Amino acid sequence: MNKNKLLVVLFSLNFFIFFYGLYNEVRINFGEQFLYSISKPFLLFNYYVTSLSTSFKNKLKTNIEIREELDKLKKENLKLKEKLIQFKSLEKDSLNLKKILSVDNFFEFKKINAKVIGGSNALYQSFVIVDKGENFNLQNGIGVINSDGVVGLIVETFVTSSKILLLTDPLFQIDVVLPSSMQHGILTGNNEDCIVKFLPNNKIYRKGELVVTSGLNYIFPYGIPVGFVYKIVKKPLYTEAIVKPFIKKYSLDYVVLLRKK
Amino acid sequence: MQNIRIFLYLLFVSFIILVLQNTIFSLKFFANIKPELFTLLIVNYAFYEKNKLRGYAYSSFVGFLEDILTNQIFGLNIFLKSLIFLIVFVLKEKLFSNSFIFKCFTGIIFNQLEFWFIYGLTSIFSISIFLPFNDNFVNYSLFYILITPIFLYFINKIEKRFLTKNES
Repeated sequence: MNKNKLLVVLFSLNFFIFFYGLYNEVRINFGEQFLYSISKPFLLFNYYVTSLSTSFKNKLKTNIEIREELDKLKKENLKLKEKLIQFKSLEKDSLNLKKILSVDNFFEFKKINAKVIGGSNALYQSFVIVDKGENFNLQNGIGVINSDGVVGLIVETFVTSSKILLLTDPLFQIDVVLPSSMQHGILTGNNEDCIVKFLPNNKIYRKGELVVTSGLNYIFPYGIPVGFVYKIVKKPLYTEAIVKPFIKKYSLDYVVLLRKK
Repeated sequence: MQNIRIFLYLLFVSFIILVLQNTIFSLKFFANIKPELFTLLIVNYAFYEKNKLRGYAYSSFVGFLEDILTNQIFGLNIFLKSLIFLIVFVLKEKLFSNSFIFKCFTGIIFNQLEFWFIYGLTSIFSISIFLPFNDNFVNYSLFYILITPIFLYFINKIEKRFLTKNES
């Protein structure tokens, strides 16, 4: 057979195989296992290299992020330091001002402890007797307090004892203030509770408001608690606030006498 | 004797190509581009071969090897490789050129032609044929231009060892 003819035959055979394979998608794989065994170590190497590179990239990324965050924090730190310096100077100023303006509430008074040795709770006569008297230079009109607040006033002194008029007595009268509304009034007793009289009508008063001493009469310093408002009574000319005192007048034991220096 | 030598040479180089494609070119470094080095082998062989019929048969054999070892559609590479051999053989006779640069140029051209042929087949018949290149055609082409002279240089050396030396 002629060479060219043979070539044509071979070519057509190839063409036929090609189209047959393409049409039926014939696949023969002899070398899969062999190729896999060859490529396995390289694939593993590839895997390790890529994992290393990705981890390195991630580390680099995190490092960059950390650096950025560090810069941010440094800036914030600087700002905070500046503020701290400002605050320190302000603190110094405020301390100085406090020193200048500080008023010790008790600087005018000498505190004398006394023990309650007797008392009466009769109508119009709410008083107690303490064991300190003229022997401690006590006089009439000395304020008496205890850990709860205002107790009363000394109205009569003896040699070794004194009579204290309790704040629930109708004869008791001191100037008090309602700190939330800054309104002054006269506190007096009604045997059970106290009443703050002569509060102006044009202000709003709330139940539960604290009542403290005003410090105007030099009997008590400013800010000693008296009681809290639990009832408000409006009158044509002024408002009255019924105050529940903090002290327990039936169980008084120790009191503090505020004698003027 | 010469027939056996050529046969062994093609078998040996085919084995080397298979190993290369499944080892070095499967690395991430090469962006998973597996160059179709069989085409270069056929081009180089076509420049060496003087017997058209033998060359055609052997190139068909190389195609057959590729088909059965790389899980391709059976017959695709048999047909393509023998066709490439035939065209290069005819071109060689017409142009009377056996220079290295011409070989490289021919190798690159035929690789591109093969690429378009396979790409056309995959798109027309919508069949899954193993494409020896990545999706990025430009990357693939550049990579091929780089790899072709290096591979042909080594193949020529092997060819000299196997075939030319023994002839002289």
